Amino acid sequence: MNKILLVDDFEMIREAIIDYLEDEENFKVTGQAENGAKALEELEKNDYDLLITDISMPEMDGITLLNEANKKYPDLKILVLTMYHDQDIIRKCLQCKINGYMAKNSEREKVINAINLVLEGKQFWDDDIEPLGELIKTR
Amino acid sequence: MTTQTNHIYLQRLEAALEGAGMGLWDINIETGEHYANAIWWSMLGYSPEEELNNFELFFRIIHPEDNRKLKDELDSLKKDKKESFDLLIRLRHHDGKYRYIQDKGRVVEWKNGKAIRAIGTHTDVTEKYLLNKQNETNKHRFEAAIAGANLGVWDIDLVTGKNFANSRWWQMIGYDPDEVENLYNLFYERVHPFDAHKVNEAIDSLQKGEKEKFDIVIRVKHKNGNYIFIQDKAKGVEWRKNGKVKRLVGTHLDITETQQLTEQLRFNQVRLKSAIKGADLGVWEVNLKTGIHYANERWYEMLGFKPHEIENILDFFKSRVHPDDQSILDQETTRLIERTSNSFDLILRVLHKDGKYRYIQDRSQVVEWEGDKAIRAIGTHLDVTENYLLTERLKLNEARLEAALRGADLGVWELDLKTGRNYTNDFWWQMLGYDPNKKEYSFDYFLSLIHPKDRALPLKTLEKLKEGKQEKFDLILRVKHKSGKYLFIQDRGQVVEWEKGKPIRIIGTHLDMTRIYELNNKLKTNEVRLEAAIKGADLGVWDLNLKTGINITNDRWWEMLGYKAEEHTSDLDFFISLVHPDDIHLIFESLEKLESGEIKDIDIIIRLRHKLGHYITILDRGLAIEWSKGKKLKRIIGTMMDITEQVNRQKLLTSALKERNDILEAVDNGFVSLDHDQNVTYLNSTAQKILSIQESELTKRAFLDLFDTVLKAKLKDAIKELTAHEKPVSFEVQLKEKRTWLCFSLYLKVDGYGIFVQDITETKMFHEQMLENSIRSMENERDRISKELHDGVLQELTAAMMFAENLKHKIQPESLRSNFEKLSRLIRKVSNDTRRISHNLKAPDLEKNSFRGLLERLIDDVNLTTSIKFEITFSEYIDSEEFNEHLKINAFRIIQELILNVIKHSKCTRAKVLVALSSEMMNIEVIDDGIGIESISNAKAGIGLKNINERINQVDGSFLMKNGKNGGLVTTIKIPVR
Repeated sequence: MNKILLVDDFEMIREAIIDYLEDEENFKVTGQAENGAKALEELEKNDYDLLITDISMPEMDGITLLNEANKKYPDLKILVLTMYHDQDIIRKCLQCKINGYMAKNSEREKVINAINLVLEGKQFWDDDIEPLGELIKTR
Repeated sequence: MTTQTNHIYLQRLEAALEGAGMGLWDINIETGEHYANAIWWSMLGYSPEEELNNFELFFRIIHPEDNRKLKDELDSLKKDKKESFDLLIRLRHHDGKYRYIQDKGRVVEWKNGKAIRAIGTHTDVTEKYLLNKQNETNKHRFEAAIAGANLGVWDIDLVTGKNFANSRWWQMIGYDPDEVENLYNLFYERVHPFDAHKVNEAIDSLQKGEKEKFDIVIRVKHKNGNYIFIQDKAKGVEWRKNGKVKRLVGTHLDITETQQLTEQLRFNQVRLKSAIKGADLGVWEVNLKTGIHYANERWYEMLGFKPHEIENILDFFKSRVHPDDQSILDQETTRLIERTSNSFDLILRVLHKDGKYRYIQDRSQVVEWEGDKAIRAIGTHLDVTENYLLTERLKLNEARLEAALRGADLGVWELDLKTGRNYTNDFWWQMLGYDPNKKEYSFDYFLSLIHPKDRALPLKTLEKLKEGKQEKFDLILRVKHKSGKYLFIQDRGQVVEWEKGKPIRIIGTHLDMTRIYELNNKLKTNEVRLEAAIKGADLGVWDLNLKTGINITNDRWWEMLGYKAEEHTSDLDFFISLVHPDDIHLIFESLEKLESGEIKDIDIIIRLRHKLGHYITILDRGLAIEWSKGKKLKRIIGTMMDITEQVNRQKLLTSALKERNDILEAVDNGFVSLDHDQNVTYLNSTAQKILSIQESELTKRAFLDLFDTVLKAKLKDAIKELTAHEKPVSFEVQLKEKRTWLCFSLYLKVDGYGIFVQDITETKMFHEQMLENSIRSMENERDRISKELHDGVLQELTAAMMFAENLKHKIQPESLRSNFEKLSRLIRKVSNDTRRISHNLKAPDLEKNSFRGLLERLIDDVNLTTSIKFEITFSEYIDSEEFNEHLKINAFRIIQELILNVIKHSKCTRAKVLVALSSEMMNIEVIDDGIGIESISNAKAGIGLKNINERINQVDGSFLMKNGKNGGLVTTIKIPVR
């Protein structure tokens, strides 16, 4: 059973995602945080296989979190789940070590599929985020 | 036969031989015995006695060539047994000359088949032979002559029809001798129909024996179709027994050319003769080489001499030429001989036999040269004495007339109604300022000079003259002088010649009456003016006698002061009593000055008391007109004008002006008053301050020259527009160096232009600030909404969608599940839209990014998210600081909207964005290769374009959409930078 840390400042989103993944046997959301700082604390405390995080958050944003997590937990898999599709942000994310980037408002099945892929050690880049494909190529 | 009888026969023979001039010879070839009679011997100049036995002689005197001939002949006699011979041999006469001898002989005795004796006769045929020979030579010569003379020769037998013609004959008419069978027929057919009778008649007369030969000229058709002239000479050479001609021999000569030349010559001669006769010309001709000369009768007659009286016409003529004319004659003759001229034409005075000089027109030319030497000269003489004298006299008369007319200042003209020709003397033209020598001006030209209102006058008069209704006329016309000024011309004239009751010649004179007219007019005008002036100006007139104190005045004088003339005696005292106490000194002072001569006239303004008690202001002017013997001033005449009203008005005006200026000084508007020539007539201090003008500058430079080129041009345009439309004009302008904004308002005044100037820099800045603030706050607001949407609405929507997803996953039955699926999809779409709106609303961050950088980012974004390939190009200085923030934001937003438009509507594959910045303007151009404007007409009203329009209006820009030359759409936006 893979353990997932879910980071999003919006509680309802967190609830909804947990609901998404409730029935899955391969992985489970075992921790959540509402910002980057809290997430780092949680990583300190418990072990996680996958970090699912948003980018825009108060106190510590997602980019900082990614950098810190990369430094401290180089083996931690990361899937960015966000509504920010600006190339600036994507570029910054891609400068970190992440395993996937996807639109937050994706269908349930797509999210589950992405998580499975990432956990298998593969990458997932969301087709619906238009600049992403090009930016991956030039990464 | 007896000896007697023999002797008689011999005698007879001798006589016969003698009569026939025959020498007789008898020779025995075998024995050498021979005999020759006396004639034989004498024929050769010998006497028979002395040479009797010398037969050898014969062989000595025979011509060597003939000796052989004779021997051959004799041999042949032997050989061929011929019995007779007949030879022509030459024998040398005793005088050494050969004689032609006809030697006839026969063999009289044969022996063994050999001739042994022959007898023969000699006849001297020298003469005959030579004649014959001559004949042959002649014949040859004739042939040659015929050939040389190009003669065609023909020969026809009229009885047998046999004919002959030499080749020239054929060539003459273009035929080859072999071509034609019957010469006569051919020839006859080709004779010109008009000339056929000539041929017939000629042959007839020959046949009838009336004539022996003929010589006619006929036209014969050449083979080429042209007629040639042929001289046909012929004579009969054989006749029939009845006397009619049997054979004709003739010659043809082609005289076409000669004939034509002759015709021409005849024609010329006739013409020349008639010309000479008609022109009364004396004609002379000199061959300078041979001295042979010729002159016709008239030539001699002209000088009063007879031909026999003059030996050498050239020398004679020269001797008669007037000494004063000798040099010119010599000079011209030399020129002729030296070939520097072809001919001369002189008028020379030549002494007539009667002792008087005649004027002879001598026209000469050299007509023949031999190398450089003139060898033939021809000339004509014409007596032009009468003409010359007449001309001279006429010239003299004209000059006299001209002088006379000049003295009278008269221009003379003359009009020939028959020919329309006109004549004018020099002064006629000079009067109008034209050069008479040019004379290029016609009667019509003169008409054109007449004042349009007077132009009909001479034409009408001319009509009346022509109709005989009038013989004389006297008009005053206004005629334009070359200078453009109209002259008053008195045009007088009369008919001087009639033909069949109709006038054919009119002579007239022009007299310049301008001065008189002007003086007259001026005088008249002055009188009238004076009256009018007095009346119109409401002048009171006074006439003061200082000696008596009596002051004569007109009604107006009294009226002015509220009195009636009869109410008061008018004298100086009364007048003085009315003068305002403060002004009395003015009167006395000016009277003193006038008397002392310090001033020439009185010109003062005084106040006089009206009958009603109030004072009126009077302009009093006077002139001293009489002085007593003691140099004392005696009489003054003057006028009085009531100027109370004017003075009051002036006061009012002055105060109004002062008030105006005070007001203008008080307000913070600058005001400049210009006259029509744009000179400053007034400039308030504010204007001086605003425009930074020193008053001293105004005298040095024109008002408009005080400003930079931009302002100067704007002011010029404004004045132009103001003058054209007579409506106030306003404009705003920024003075570059000071960065101040000025507003100019111009209006039209009676005396020029009024200009208000206002410093509107603050207002402008305020507006700019306002605009920037409003844009900034709008951007802030958008940014806030963007964040709100993104961080609030969008998150919530996402959550909502996720719940819908969960429901879709978990809920039963299937029908409900599909509803949740739809709900989920719908919310996802709304969230995506919201995300995009939020993104677009996000303010461009100009603090972190350059304008250029922002746009590049924008294009990058677009290229990453669409299949259209966008390119952007920038001009230099695109990030200039002149281009302030709110303009940058606006431009960015506009470009953003344009790009969205392209993405949404153009269906293009490529698009280009050009952004150019100059000091005045930002140009934005978006070009795509899509479907163009027709197809997007609906979109034009769309929100995107509305937004663009609003933004453009905010910054006073302009917006143009049109289809590109190669399809697609071109959108051009211009935004003023300042």
